[in-house]
Formats: sequence, C-alpha cells, structure tokens
Amino acid sequence: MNRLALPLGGLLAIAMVAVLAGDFQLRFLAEILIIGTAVMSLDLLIGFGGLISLGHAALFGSAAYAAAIAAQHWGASLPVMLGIGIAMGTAVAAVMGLVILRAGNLFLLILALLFGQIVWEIAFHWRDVTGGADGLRGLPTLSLGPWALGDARSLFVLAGLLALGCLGLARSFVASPLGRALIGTREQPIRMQALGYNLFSLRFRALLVSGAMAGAAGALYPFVNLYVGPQSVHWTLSATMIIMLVIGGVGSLWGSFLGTAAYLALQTYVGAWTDRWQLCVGLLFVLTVLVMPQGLASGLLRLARKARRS
Amino acid sequence: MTALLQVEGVGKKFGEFAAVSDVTLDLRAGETLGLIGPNGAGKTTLFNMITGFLKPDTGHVRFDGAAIDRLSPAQRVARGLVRSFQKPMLFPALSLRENIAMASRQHAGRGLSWLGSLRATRAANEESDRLLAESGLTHRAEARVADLAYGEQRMADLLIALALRPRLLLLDEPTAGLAPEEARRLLAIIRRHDAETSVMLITHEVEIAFAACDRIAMLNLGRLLCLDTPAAVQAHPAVRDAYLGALAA
Repeated sequence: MNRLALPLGGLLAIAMVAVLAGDFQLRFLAEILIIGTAVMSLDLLIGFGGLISLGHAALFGSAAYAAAIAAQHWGASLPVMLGIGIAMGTAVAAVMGLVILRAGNLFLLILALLFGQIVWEIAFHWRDVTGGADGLRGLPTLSLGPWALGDARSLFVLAGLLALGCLGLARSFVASPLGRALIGTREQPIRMQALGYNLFSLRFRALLVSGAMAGAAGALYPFVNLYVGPQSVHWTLSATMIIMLVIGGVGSLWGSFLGTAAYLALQTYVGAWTDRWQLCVGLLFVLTVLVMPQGLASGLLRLARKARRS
Repeated sequence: MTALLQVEGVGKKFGEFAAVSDVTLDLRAGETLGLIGPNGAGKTTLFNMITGFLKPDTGHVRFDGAAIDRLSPAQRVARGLVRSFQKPMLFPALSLRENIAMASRQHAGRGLSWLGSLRATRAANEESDRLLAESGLTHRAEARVADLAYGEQRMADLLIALALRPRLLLLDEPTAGLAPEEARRLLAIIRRHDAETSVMLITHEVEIAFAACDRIAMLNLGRLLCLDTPAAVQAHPAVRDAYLGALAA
C-alpha cells in the first residue's frame, strides 16, 4: 500500500490541479515540473554521487533544441519528441562523462562548466540550425496520435506524468545496487576501489541516467515555453539549477520541485513587481542555508513530524 | 606449499625518502603472514603497492603466478586480493547490513545493476546476514554504522572485506584500539575463514603476530630485516635491537 501511495497521491494531485487551475497557473506549474525534473536529475549526481556539475544545462538544453529542431522537420509527436530528448540527453551526457569524470571535485566542476559553454557556443553560433541568439519559435503543436496536446491543461498533465515517472525512477535508482554504490563513491571513494568497484564506470552510468532524465524534461520544455534559446544551455542555468536544488534539499529528490517552485515563483511574481527579484532569491538562499540547511524538503518533513507528535 | 603472493625487489621513494627498498617476500597459500616493524617502517606503503594503490618504482608483484603490476586496485580485487585500511572505512549514511551488502553485491557481479536487481539485493542481504550472525552483530544489522561502537566498526570493516570472499586478505592493524576481548573475537573470525583465505597482517601488537601468524616479516626503515617463523623472528638479533628490545628485556 505504501508503495502505491506516492504514485496514487501524485496522480490525484495532478488530476485535481488540472481541473481547478486556470491556463496561466497550469503553464507555470508545467514549467516548474519540467525544470524540477531536470533539477532532480542533477540531484542524482550531486546529492548521491557528490559530483557537482556546472554543465547540467547542456544536457537539458541540447535535448530541448533537438526536440524543437526535429519538431520543425517531422512534426511534434510526443513519443518521438521524448525519444529524441532522452537520446540527446544521454548522448551529450556520455560525451560529457568522458571529458569530466577523469577529474574530481573542483576540476570536475570547471570541466563541466567548460563543456557546457562549448555546447552554448554551438547553440549560439550555429544560426542556420539553432536560430542563434534568437532561438527557435513557432514550433508545431505537440501531439499524441490524433490528439493535440498544445493546450495548458494537456501540457500540465504531461509534465506532471513525466515528473512523477522520473521521481519513481530516481527513487528506484537510489535504492538499487547502482544507487547505493554511487553513495559509496561519495562517502568512501578509496574503500569503493578496494571493494573492486570501477569508479569511472559507476559515475558514468549515473551520469547517463541523469542525462536521460534531463533529456526527457528538455524534450517537453520548448512546447511549454513556446521557445528555446541559447540561455537554456548556458552555464548560468546550471548554476540556477544548483541554487534550486540547495533551496529544495540536496539528496531529497522531491525537494527539487520545491526549490524550483520557490525560485520560479520569486522570478515570476516578485519579478513582475521589481527587477531586483534576484535579491529575494539571494535572501531565500541564505535563509534556507541558515534555518533549514538540509533544504525545504527536510524542513517540511521535520515540521510534519513535530506536528504529528504534538 | 606454493606461493600465492610474490613480492620481488619492490621499492618506493617519495622524493629523496625511500619508504620501501628492495623488499622481496612471498606468502604461501593458506598461510597467515605477519608484517611488523616500527612506525615509518614501510608496512602500509608495501600494502599499497601490493594492492595497486601505489605504483612501485622498482620490482614486481605476482599473484597466483601472474604479474599484476599493471592491474588497477579493482582488477586485483576481482582476482581475490582484498585489503582493509588502518582506520575503518565505512559508509556512514548506510546501515551495517547495507555496508556489507555493498561488498557481497560486488562479489556477485551485481554491484552496478539497477533494474531487475531485486534478486541480487536479496542474495546480498542473505550473505550479509550470514556474516553478521557469525560475528554476533545480527542485532545491529539495521543500525547506521556511524552509530556503532568503535569495536563494532572494526568488526564491520572486517566483515566488508570478508564479504568479497578474498583469496588473500591484507589487514592493516585490524586490532588497533580494541580491547583484548574484542581483538580475540576479531582474530577468531579471521581464523574461521583461513581455509579459503590467506592473510597478511600488519600489526604493532607483536604478541598478536606471534600468536596468530605462521611466519612473520619484519621491516625497518623500508628494508626487510627478516622473514621467518615467530620463534626465529623473536630470536633474531636485528629484530631484538630494532623493535623487540623492550619486550625481550
């Protein structure tokens, strides 16, 4: 019963929001769920593998570009878009892994940043294909067989199902031998070698899984955002993802969605009022680190436990 | 008895400092070989070279008749060459059972599996439970290892190594900091596995080396002073001068 509680509760929540919310909220929530899924895929690397990457936007953004470009040529069939996004995210993660996983800690972070900037350079300068600085707009409507999925409600439900599916996969990954071994490399890399684990192979597999999830999220992004531009592969988006993750709770998986929601809510609502919304993000970040160092997810769980006891 | 491990003229320098110089020794299948010597004698450096964590500047290491100089630590583990470290190296976020399962899954070749890994996980947990029962730590199986007492952590460290079913187990001061009763219990577990596992044991506690080892190698300032039976080592004049003077007096 407990194993079914999360998917059933998630499905119920998606259905209720889909019925009750308006178009603007549904699009906004779809964006949170999609970017939150990408942030959760980053959590697999940072929270469980201790691999801090400043190149994660390259996985997400290149999948978004691949889906958008493919949609312009062959139409936007959902399974094809997801397949292309997952393939692109995994392929870019594979190349990135070969480059960055030979190093560790600070060097890994810098190599990932440089790799991400190479992808950005390609997106920015390959104008004929990517639209350069203007990006790609005017994409065809996402579809599944005879059904058009371009309206806010359909996109929200799709984003919700994607987030729920990826959360389930991420939880199963963390509980699997591969996930436990990834935690082992974070805590005792030398002991893991002494147990016969090949650290490169282990981290490479984790990066592929993370890339596939980021790619799946990236594939839906252009259809929710109605645009994909070079900012989606820029290192600043990678840094933003890390901020979202820290606010939500590193290593919690579901906290990624909380962190993304908090960040995007400040950007959208405070940003409409003042262009100094990033100051609020900074304050929220500092407050989180001081008051809930494990992030919003852990803080909320603590509060819930306290409420149950009293 | 045939030699399971052969160390031939192995040496290692750190800058101008020779940590290990021209050490040659062998370990026979089924044997427990003690490695003693004062601090800085080069015992752990020798361990690191045998297990692939350090590359020797000179000499060769052969295991089961084959040269293993070019193998990574992980590849050496796959051949049955397993080590522990001076301080227990555990995974503090995981339970005691999961710590041991990390090793038994790897031994079963399922350490990196994801989907369809339920059976592998169950088998690894059974192996962990068997080792926990053998060591009397079943009641602590679900405890996080960070919450274990030091003696239990030492035992956990040994169980992780044993879960790999090693052919040769290199233990770096496994009884350091343990009460005599805890040390006896740990040595008893090691002895219980000696039919399938040969042991190389670094220890500062010479009484343990004399009691538990078939032969003892004595290192001093990176050089091998002698390699012989415990009685012969105890009587060796160089050993008495360098290390056992106080004990023998």
